[in-house]
Amino acid sequence: MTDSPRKRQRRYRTHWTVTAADRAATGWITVGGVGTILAVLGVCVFLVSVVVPLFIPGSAEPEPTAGVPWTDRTLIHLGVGEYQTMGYAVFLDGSVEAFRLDTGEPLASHQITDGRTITAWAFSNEGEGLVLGFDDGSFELGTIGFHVDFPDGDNLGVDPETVTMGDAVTVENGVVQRTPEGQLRRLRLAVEFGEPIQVDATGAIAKIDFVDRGGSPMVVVLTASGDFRANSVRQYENLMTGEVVSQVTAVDLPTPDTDPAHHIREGALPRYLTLNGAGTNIYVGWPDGVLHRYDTRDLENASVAERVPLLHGTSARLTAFQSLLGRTTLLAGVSDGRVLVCFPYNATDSRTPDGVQLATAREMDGPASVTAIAPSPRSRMIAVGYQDGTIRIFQVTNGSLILELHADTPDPIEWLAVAPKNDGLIALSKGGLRHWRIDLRHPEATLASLFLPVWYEGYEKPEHVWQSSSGTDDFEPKFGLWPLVFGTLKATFYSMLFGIPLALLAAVFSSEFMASALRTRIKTLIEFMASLPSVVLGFLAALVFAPFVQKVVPTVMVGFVTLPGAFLLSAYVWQLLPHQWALRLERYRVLFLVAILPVGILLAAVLGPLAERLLFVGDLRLWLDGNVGSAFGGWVMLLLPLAAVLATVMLSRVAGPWLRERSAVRGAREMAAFDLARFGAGIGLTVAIAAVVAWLLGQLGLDPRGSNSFFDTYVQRNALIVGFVMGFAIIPIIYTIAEDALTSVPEHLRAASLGAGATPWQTATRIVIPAAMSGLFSAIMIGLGRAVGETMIVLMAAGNTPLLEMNIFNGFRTLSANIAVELPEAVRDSTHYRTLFLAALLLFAMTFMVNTVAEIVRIRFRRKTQQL
Amino acid sequence: MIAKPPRTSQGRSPQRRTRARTSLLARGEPMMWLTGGSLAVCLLMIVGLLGLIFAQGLRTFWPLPVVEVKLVDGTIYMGEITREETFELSEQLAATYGESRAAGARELLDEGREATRRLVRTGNFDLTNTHFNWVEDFDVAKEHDPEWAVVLERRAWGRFYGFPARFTIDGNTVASTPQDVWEQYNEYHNDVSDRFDRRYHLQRFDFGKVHAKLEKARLERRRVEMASGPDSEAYRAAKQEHDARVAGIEGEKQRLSGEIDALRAENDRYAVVFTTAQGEEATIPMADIVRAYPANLIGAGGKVAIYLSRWKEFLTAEPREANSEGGVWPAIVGTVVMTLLMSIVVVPFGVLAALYLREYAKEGPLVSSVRIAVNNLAGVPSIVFGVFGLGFFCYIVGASMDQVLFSAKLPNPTYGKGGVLWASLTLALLTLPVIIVATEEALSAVPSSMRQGSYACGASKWQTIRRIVLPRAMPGIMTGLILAMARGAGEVAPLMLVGAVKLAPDLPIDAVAPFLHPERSFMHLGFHIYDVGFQSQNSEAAKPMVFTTTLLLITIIAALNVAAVMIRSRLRKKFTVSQF
Repeated sequence: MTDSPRKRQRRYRTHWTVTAADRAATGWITVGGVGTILAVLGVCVFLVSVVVPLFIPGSAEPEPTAGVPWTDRTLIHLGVGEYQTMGYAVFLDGSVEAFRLDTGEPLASHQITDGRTITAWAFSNEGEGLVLGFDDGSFELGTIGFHVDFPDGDNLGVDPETVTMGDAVTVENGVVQRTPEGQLRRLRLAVEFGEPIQVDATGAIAKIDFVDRGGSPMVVVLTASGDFRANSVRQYENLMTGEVVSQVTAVDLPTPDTDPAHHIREGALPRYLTLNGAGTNIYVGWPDGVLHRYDTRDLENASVAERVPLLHGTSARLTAFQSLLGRTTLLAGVSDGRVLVCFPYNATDSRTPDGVQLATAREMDGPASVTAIAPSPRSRMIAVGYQDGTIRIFQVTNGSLILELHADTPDPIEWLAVAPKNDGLIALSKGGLRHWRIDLRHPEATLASLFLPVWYEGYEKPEHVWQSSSGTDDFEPKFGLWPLVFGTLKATFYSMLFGIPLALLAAVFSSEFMASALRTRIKTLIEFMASLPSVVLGFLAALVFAPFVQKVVPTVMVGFVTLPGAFLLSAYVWQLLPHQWALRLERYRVLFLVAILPVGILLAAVLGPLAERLLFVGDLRLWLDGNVGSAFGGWVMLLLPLAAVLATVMLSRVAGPWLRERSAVRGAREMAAFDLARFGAGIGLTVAIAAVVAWLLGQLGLDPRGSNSFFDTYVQRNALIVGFVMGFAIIPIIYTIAEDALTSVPEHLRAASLGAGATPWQTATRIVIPAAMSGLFSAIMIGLGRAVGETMIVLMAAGNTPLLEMNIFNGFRTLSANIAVELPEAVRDSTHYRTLFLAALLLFAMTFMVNTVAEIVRIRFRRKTQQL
Repeated sequence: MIAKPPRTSQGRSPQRRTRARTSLLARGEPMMWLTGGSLAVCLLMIVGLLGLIFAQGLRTFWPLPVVEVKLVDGTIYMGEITREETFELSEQLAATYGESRAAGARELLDEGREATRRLVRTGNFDLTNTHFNWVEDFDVAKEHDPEWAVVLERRAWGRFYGFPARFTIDGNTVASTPQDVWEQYNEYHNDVSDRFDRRYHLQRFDFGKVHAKLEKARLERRRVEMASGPDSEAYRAAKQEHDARVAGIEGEKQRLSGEIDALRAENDRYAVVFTTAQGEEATIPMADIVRAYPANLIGAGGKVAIYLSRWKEFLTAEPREANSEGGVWPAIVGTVVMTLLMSIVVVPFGVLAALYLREYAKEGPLVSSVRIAVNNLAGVPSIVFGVFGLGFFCYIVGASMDQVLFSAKLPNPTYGKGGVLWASLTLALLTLPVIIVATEEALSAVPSSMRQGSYACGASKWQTIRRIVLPRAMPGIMTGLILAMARGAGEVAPLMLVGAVKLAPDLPIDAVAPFLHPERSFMHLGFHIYDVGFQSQNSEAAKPMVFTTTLLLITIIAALNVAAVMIRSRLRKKFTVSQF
């Protein structure tokens, strides 16, 4: 006490280690804590960062060019090599010239013909194949492309040291580059041709096309004199000499009588001749837009299956004609700037003999007459050149414009070529050669194509389709997310339909009418169920439950009615008990409830087959297929719940006041008997209403069956099963939160209500439930969030077909299951990969929104109960 | 809570007033029963589900008697009855039956009875190409339990049912009555099994070590090649050294192969010849037999022994036959390693975040919105975390690590693919909200009076947290951790994307340095259930296995949950004591 304050302070000064530890801890906890929180929130940021490039438009980077090394020669084809250092041109005089794109320096030259004149040609747009037709009626199949090798520096002709990374050095016949790995890579022109094949016909070949068909090409020729012939070429190697021998089978194609403007025999030769990828269709087209489609599935009996006026008699002309990758879709350039996208589809009400019909699925506009179309060799993208020097790059599946480029001068674009890897484009016009490096990014996915119906190749109409991959290269990926979103909603809807009532009612019972000791135990059990792995539920659903339910569908359907019915019936019987007994037995109510359960199930097992016999001609699954029985049974099944509600309302309106009036003067037993009678009447009324309305609807010709209706063919893994099992999965969550909300309603409110003379039921419905309403709501929302994102159950029990069907007895595919199935196989950073990330982001956003609403409501609820 | 009955004494009062009786309608009896019914339905479903899993899971390994069934058309099936069901016998179905079978079907149809059939596990897949056969009961001509029917569990081809005919050593018959064969079998089986295990061990682990050495040598050479180019002096030296080392390792490999061959040759001497019920003879090498027992001769004690030995195999052995037989040891190890790694990561970060939110950050709209966001993340679908894990951990972090640290191994990814490290990090992210919420709750449950007391004694903030707050909150944090572990152990969807595989050749933890291999993909019990139950070719045979695995998994999760509940109740007790 005698120490001065100063001295005391000195003696008890905090040791520096304590201060330092405190500072360090503060820093560490702040950094670590904030970092952790940011990392968790970073999940969302990362997902967005992967998805965003989907919607970034493509870009083009001009590359230097220096014109072309030729003048005044008729070009018939222009090509570009894989690494965009070399291009080649094929001329009508039969020579092939390779040149450097950047300097225009000629690199190699090759002469194909030997005195014959080329009169027709066709180039494959996927590979390097081509066919040339000559004036003497022969044709040759061959390839023009680039040969790539990796030579060592010795016999290169140039000093390897001078080849640095990034630039290309001219060597004999080609170009050498250094790869990022440090190797030398040489590109040289490679031209190969087979033996000429003579067509047994007169005159020069006027039009020609071919399709490879996996090594046995089919070549279709049209001679100037109007001979139209398909040649199947079989090439095999002579084992003795090593020589390749071609064997040709030729079939004459019909040239039917038609109007003189399109009569091949009468000299009206078509401008365009194109085969489809399988050689089963031949298209011949005239400049006025008339297209004849030959059905050549059976070559011997080929016929004109369809004549289509693409331009519908307008004054516009066809100015370019190409087929897209896979050669099923036709691209027709029109003088008014449009590019028409046409493909055949299997029509349900076809006018054509082969059941196939050509449709113009979409048009892509342009600023001037189309002068050139170059389809991409590896995706469904096309480059279109116009009269005014504009070049547009379109994605054909959704018709979106990816890029617009301009040549130096407003001269018509004469030739276009897309680089083999889709990363470059060269264009030739009077103004010279232009070369762009292009980055298309992800043109297959646009907001519209992801969420709106798209008319895919071979489909009858625009549809929502999810079909992301297939075995073949020319497959058209279909990224319609709607079927998956629909599947998610379907799963959520049915599971909520099953889960919410059960969970909420169970929560009300256990919090309001149950002894607290038992309640704690039951709650522990149900909470344990919440941590049950969903893979277990999925396995049980798919391998135990689904096959079982399949056998007893009617019983299950009837069980939805008999189980509540049994409980209600036992309640009315219970009321008949004398009051004293009822009070004494009150505590065993749970036992009674458990005992009633088998009664309800038994009732369902008895009534199920009965209902099946009465309503569904004795076989529900046969009935569901839609071919037998009337609509009546289905309507009854659908209308029963509605009718029950209606009957309850009607009876409580009519009989309620009367009963209430009576209850003051009559004995309890008598009242209970009245009530039981009312219940019986209610059941009768329900059935009557359902039957009458069902009969009426049936008379109107409405049927609840059909792929876009509630019932259709029964599939083992379906929405009913998922509804059950996923409902079961979310019951524990909803129950726990709802029960917490109900028990946290302050006890004094209950006491006051009971003290004022209300029955426990009245207290529960008028006091406790309204007070806990927001808590119950947040319980439902959290259950909803869980159902939306649940993966394993739907993955195993929903069949995983991305269908758009209301049918409760059919499967579906959800966003989450789709990710689980497809993401492991998706190529990193591909459109597919990013689309799956978009699906994940959608799930994230959906659940985050639902949960935030739930959380905010819950916080508000907590504040409210604290005030009470 | 129920209204008390009116006291009878009041009824005796002279003035009998008509008392307003509680209206029957107000009691809401029907609705109350409906709510109770809902609870009963929920409970029934839970109990039914657990009961089903327990019954099926515990039943799987119990040895069943072997039945020989002779059908009216002369076909003989022998095997174990797996299940029985009734089916609808229609005219159309009966018409498809052959003549000999039609009579029985007709009789049933005429009497309008339901037909029953049994699924017999007949095994002998190598001979018959089926594992199972349905037997319609009306088809059965004769049925008995043959005395010497032996059940064989084999290393390949599934089960075998037959009668022991001969026991051969080096091709010479040494026993030819079932009794003698069986004695011989018992005499040699343990030795053969031991040799097989030894051989397997050599092949698996010692060979594995040799291959690891070879790979290491190759990588060193490659590293030099990448550093100084293939033409350099250093590379030539490295190549020489590599070749010398490889030569040494090859010698070791030779020695191992010799050892393995010797063991195999010794085992190949013993074989048992069985006759099937159909009369075919099949020679089965002793080394192929995992377990054999004459099902109809062994007593209850023998059955229990087999039951237990099957459980032991299940828990400790590796899977066989596309995971549908054998054990789940790798899956148990994978699950445990993954869960432990996850816990090591998630606890410090979760606790840091919670400490920051509760003790350091200033309460305000920002902190409460962060809290809402963190709470919500607990509800974000697990598959979304899987997508994140694949895209971020495997493809970005892992691929960059490969570029920097393991470039010699490229293009084979080391970390740039799914692995146990990435799986546990993904699950750590998934369970982080659980830990944060639990820790925050535990921190807020520490009475502020204790903190103030500590400050009053002159402790700093950190001292208070470390000595007063954290110890009190520890049980709560532990509860959160255990719940997170339960969630992590049961989660499958994200693991499918970040490294769980159906069959991992190597465990993520083993005897080869550095012992823990966080880059390896792993097996997981939950994924095992999905894979075996859903992707298996022979799903009928795999189903019992799935039930047992399910039983194992939910036992683990239940144990974790019980532990959490116990810790929670202890925590509550502690606080009632320590509250002022």
